[in-house]
Amino acid sequence: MFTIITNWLEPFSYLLFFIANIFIFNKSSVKSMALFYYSGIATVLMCAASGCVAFQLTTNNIFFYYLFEIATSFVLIVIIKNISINKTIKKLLFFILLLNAFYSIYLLAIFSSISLFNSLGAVVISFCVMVMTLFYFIQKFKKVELTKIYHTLDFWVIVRFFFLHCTNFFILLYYYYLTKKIYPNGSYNDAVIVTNLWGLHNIVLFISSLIYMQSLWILYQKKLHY
Amino acid sequence: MDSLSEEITLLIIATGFVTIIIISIIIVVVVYQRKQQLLLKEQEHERNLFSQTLLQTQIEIQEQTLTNISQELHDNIGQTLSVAKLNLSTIKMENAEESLQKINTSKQLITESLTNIRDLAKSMLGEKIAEIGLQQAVQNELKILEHTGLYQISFSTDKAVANICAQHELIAFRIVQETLHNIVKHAEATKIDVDINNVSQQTIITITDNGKGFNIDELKENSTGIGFKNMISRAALINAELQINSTVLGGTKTILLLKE
Repeated sequence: MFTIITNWLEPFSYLLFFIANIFIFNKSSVKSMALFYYSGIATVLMCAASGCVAFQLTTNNIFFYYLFEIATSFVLIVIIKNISINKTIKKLLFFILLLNAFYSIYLLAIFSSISLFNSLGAVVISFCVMVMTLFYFIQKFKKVELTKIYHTLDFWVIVRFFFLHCTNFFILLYYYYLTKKIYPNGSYNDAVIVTNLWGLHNIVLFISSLIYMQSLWILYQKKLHY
Repeated sequence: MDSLSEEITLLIIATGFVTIIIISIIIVVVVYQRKQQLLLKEQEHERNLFSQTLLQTQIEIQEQTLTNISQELHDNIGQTLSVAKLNLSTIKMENAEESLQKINTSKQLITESLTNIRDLAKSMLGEKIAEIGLQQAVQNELKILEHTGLYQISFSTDKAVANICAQHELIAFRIVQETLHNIVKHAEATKIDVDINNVSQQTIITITDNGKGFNIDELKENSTGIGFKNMISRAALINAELQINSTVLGGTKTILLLKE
């Protein structure tokens, strides 16, 4: 059970996320297309990362995670571009996410020399998502519309990313601290906590994917705004 | 043992954190829905206000039209017909030449009265602005003023005016009518110019008079300027802009900007 949670729950959650995006697949919507391809890429990358560990093809699967971070940075740029938030904040987030994508490319180039995942990039992404969520709701409250907020795709995309990344921010920040501690002189207990943290991250990811799939299924059934 | 207790602490913190996030999202949705309900109430209130204003405007236009008709009948047509009657009743059959002249004068007076009655009938259509259009309705209103002989009227218009809905046209017409009524009542003007133009999907109605003018700031502060405030609030209701420029002894220029 523990192996399933720490290893297989992540690709399974992304598979659910991908299935949910099939419901809203719309060729004329950039956001929908970006989410569809992103979730597809994420599923493939996470399956590959978990497969490498499960079938002992390699002990270092962080290559896939850096690729995933680059994809996440770009999909967030597309999402931020397509939701109504303050223009200055938009530009600032674009800049941070682009910088983060370059940082992930750099880590990708040197990944073979590092055995532990550098979660700083993921922390930055989580921070951007929290800022994006905050300004999305500020904008929503400034300009109230008659459409029910939970009948829109934007809301559920934001909720999914916020739910996942708000928790991730603290998990991965702690993870970053622990990996930095373990790398030079870590204890066995620290290594266990690192694995547990990853398991916790996977559980949150699974819950967020379930909520997202359920809500998008309802949107799809009711033929609402997506 | 230490590792187990750390795991439990971690799990408790994570569960608490996830719960807080879920509760926060629920609170956001609930607060948003309350704001939506407030917005709905506001929109409902605005709709009611618009309906009331529309009804009030229709009544005022009818009242103004009836006043105009009554004045026209009394001051103009009545007088003309009285003179015609007087002419006809003083005809002496012995004097054929004089009688013929009187008959011809009476004929002219009756023809004039008929023309006036026709114009009057047209002015009654002012209530049916949707049928005749804003420009025609304003023109009819100006004709009535012209008949009084007290004003030198000039009217110019573009062929194409912005596409404005009938309800907005009605309220705009009432604002124009109210402006003209104010000129008659207060301005002591001798000249009225009305111009209806279409500039970048906006209909601009400009009414200029050479009357005694007034201090606009005083009117704004004064409680007697209810009609003025009414005009401004009505303009706002149809998303139009009303500008009034006036100086004491310098005439008044009223501009109504109607958006499509």
